[in-house]
Amino acid sequence: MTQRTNAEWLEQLNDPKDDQALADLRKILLRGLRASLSNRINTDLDAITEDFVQDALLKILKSLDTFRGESRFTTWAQKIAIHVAYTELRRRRWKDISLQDITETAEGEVFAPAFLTDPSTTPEREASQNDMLQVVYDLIDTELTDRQRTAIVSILQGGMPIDQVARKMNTNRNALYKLIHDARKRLQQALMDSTGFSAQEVLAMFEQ
Amino acid sequence: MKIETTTLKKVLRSLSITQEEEMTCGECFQQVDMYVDMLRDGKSPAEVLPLVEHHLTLCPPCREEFEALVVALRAVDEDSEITD
Repeated sequence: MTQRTNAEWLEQLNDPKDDQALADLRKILLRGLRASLSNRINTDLDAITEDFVQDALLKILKSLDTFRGESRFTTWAQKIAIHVAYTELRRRRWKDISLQDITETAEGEVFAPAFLTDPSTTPEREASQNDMLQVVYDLIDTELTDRQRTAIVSILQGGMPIDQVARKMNTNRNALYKLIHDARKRLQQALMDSTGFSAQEVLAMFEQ
Repeated sequence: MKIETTTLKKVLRSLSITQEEEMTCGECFQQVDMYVDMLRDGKSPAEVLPLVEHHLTLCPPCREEFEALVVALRAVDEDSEITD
């Protein structure tokens, strides 16, 4: 296969397109995507990869003017192909699961508020750990908005990817990341205000 | 809302690495190809692009795509070496 510089790729993929450059790019994307998907997809790997590459090629050709030349062109193109494929795979995996399914059910041990337990029956270290978890629980309950709480629990408890949570909350991935970032900063400060400890110090109590 | 004990610990862990300034997924996506090429060239991208490094630690889908990109490029590189 012909080695090309970034400038040559751009020149040959812009109109009038060079068919050989297009065929070479397609081959590169197919090889890379197939390798990355091979341990995720058991059946119809070739056909599924072909479909993703077709979608990715259209996106790449439409976005050529956004390539800033800060990486190899083929790395940039492969990044788009991976994004197209993995976004769709995540959508398929989570499409039938609602946020309520995650926030109203729990597979593991549900945290019990402290008033339900008798601190005198638990060893001292365990009691102080429970106290700290109670603080975190209360801060999530009182300091966050409903949307922040739903987003954080859906991601950290349910394991739902942020792009799929965003889709179900009718927002986009970037806006949701900012919402969650604001929530984390708020909890960080509230934890310090209410306990005098940073999150790192509280975490250390569990990891000693 | 039911919150599991392990979720509270995960919240604590995410708070422990929360920074005042962070990158969104879109900003990370714009720079991750540069980050990966630096890795391939034996450079230390974490020093030049610390916000990308940090975002990849906090965001599982972006991390997943980064790791997939590394695998994909390695496969293409190996093929090129065989062809060359």
